[in-house]
Amino acid sequence: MSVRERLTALEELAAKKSTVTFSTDGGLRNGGELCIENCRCIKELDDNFIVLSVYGMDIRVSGAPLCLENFGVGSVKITGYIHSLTFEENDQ
Amino acid sequence: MKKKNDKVKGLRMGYVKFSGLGGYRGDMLSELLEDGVPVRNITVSDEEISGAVSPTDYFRVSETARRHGVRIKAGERRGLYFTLRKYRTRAGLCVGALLFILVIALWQTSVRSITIEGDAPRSQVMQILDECRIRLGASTDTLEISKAEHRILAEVEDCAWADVSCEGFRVNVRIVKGVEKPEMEENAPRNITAARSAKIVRQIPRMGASVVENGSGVNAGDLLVSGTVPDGRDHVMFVRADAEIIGEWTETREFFVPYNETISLANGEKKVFKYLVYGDDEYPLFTGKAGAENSLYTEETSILKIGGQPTSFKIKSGIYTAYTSQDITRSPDDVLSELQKRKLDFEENFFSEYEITNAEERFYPQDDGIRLVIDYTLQGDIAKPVPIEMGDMTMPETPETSETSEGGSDG
Repeated sequence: MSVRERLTALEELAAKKSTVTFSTDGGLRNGGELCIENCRCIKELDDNFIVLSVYGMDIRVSGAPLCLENFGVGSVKITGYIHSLTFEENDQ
Repeated sequence: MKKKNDKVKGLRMGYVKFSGLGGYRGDMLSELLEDGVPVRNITVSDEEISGAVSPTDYFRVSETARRHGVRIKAGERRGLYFTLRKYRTRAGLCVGALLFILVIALWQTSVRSITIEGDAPRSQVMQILDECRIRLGASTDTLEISKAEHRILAEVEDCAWADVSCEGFRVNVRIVKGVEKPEMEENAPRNITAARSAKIVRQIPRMGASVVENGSGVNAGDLLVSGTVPDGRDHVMFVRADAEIIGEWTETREFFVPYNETISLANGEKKVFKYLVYGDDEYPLFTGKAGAENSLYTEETSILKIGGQPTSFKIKSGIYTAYTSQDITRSPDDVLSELQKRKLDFEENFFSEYEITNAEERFYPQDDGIRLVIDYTLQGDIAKPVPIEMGDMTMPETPETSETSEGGSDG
């Protein structure tokens, strides 16, 4: 395996790992903040329902109202009153 | 129900709020996410998507939105980018800002103010500064600050500490004088004794009664000038004896220089540590700790030039040259010259206070070198003041001819 191939493999390996961080600053009543790294795409987007796709999984976030921000390649932050968080396997 | 956060963070140059209708909003955001375009405060209602982007990214966002069928519309624009853009046609403001920067920049390159703090003669300090190129209107690049500090320390009377610093166009000079030695009135009675064994050559008694004669020999500790003087009415009075007693004595010194010797010379590996110097501050241009064992340390400082023009920065090089052991073989002439050198060094270090009236040299050649024996005849002041203990009331036997209480008599 050449160096280029190894680097590509490492890059793909890093892209397969996604970190989801949920923090509540001052309790759930004051809303929460959800940070997701290595997000591949946004499948659905609504005022109180967002579906994000990461490697091998879809993340469904429901809340009201939800506000989305992206901070660079693959980094997404969702703020608002988050009601539920669901993880579903996908085919990717 | 809907609460919108109007505060847009993280976009330093400003932001453009946008709103879009229809199309594939998720795909549009996915593409922006993949391209790494930061978008803030994205909120979605039934048909509308809104958010905020940097002014420089808005064109890219609108292109992406068009590709995915989202009809985008720019809204509120705020921030530094738009403020600067708003005044771009105001030539007066631009010229004024440029002039302001120019004046500040030019003023910083020449001295506009010199402040002297401390109790020192201003005229003398100003003259030293002037000779070190520190004067009003002088370029800050050419100031010889270190030289000025050294000269102030050396030339201003009782100067204990001096600091010259250049901050912008202002030169600050701070001088701290040492605490003057308090004048202590010393009038305690004392005798003058001999500091060493010698033959008295001449004497200048200023106060007290001399008890020795010229040509007489004295041992170390013998009384030379007494501080106990009779007043002629069967009483004694104690005075503070003061005199210059010149004695003569001999000393023998030996010097030996071998033909073959192992000496340490600083000609080994050189380690150079460079520092960037700005004013009084030094910034190391290396990692780790400067230093080398068993080495000779020297310093070189040069002005940093960029494009041939001198700057305010200096480069200081600390050079550690390692000592190396070297076997040397001297010829007889080399040995003699080395002996002469050692003799002169010794005389400069140990006999500088005395007058060498005679030096008889004897050379003794040996198998491994040459030995030099010198009999010195020296003259010098051998007076050593000793306080009179008040319990000691013994009258000295003073010769009548040299009895004096005041004034000088040479021999």
